Amino acid sequence: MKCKKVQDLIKTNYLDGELKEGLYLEIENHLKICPVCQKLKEELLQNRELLKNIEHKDVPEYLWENIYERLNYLESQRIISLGLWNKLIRRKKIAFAILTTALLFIWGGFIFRSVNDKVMQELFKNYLLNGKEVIDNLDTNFEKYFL
Amino acid sequence: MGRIIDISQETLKKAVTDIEAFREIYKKTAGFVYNLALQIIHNQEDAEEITQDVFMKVYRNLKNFHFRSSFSTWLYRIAINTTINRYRKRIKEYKLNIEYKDGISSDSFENKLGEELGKLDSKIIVDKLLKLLDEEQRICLILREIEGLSYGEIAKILKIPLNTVRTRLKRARENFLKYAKKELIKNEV
Repeated sequence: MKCKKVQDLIKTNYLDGELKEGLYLEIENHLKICPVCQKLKEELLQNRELLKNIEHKDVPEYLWENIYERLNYLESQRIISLGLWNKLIRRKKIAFAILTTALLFIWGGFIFRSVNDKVMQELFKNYLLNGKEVIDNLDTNFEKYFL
Repeated sequence: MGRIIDISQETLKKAVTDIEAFREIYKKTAGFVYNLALQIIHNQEDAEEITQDVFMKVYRNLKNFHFRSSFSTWLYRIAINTTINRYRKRIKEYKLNIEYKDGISSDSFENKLGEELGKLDSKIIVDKLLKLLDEEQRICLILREIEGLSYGEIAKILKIPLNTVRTRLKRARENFLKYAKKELIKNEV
């Protein structure tokens, strides 16, 4: 096995113990006769030791207190919203009435809008054909009321 | 897996609505979340905020956790994503700040960030060296060397192919070696 391939494996699978036994032995044999690859292995192992010395810090006590406060707030909000929903579910008649009224309003709005649109379209069409007459027909003529 | 002791299904189910049961999960896992954030972002205040955010996310989403993966994998993923997001936000802020202050080009800002953070709280060489690695390499190295996860576990957490884990680790070690040598020369001079 060539040095390049061995070094590639030393930096990864060999160092991490993720190598098949056959390959592992092959690398071990290479390391016995190659000082360059052997040196690389030693340097990598030294770095690994260095990384193991990373300080593991304790979590500050007050962190849980902050989290606890936020969790309590979250829970209280959940209880409030659940409470409202449960009340509505219990009072089926009220819920049904609110829903029906809302639907009626929406439906009424649509009807009103479509009728209104039709009237306006008709007026505008007439105005384009005979502008003055339409204005007379609007019943807003000043003279009609005062003369 | 790693340093986290896996939590029983009973505790997890109970913790959906019971804050005291949730505290048990916190006690067992907060150390890992806090230190992981600290090693990636190198700032205590940020690490504290990340820890709080992670546990709020865990609490909110615990009811949707269906045991398809282990709790540890799920927690690792939340912790890493939250930390990465915060880290990127900090880099963006730092970049803007530097550009605003003296119009220095952003090419060297990673190194500058390392120096700046180094001045603030890093007393250990290894911390300094980790800062010099890019984000993806650093996370892989931390998960492998410090948390002791296997290639398969890292791939699952980061949602990347096994070969990518291998490549990132290889580059991380090459760079770590390079920076360590430089650091050694600097200290000798």
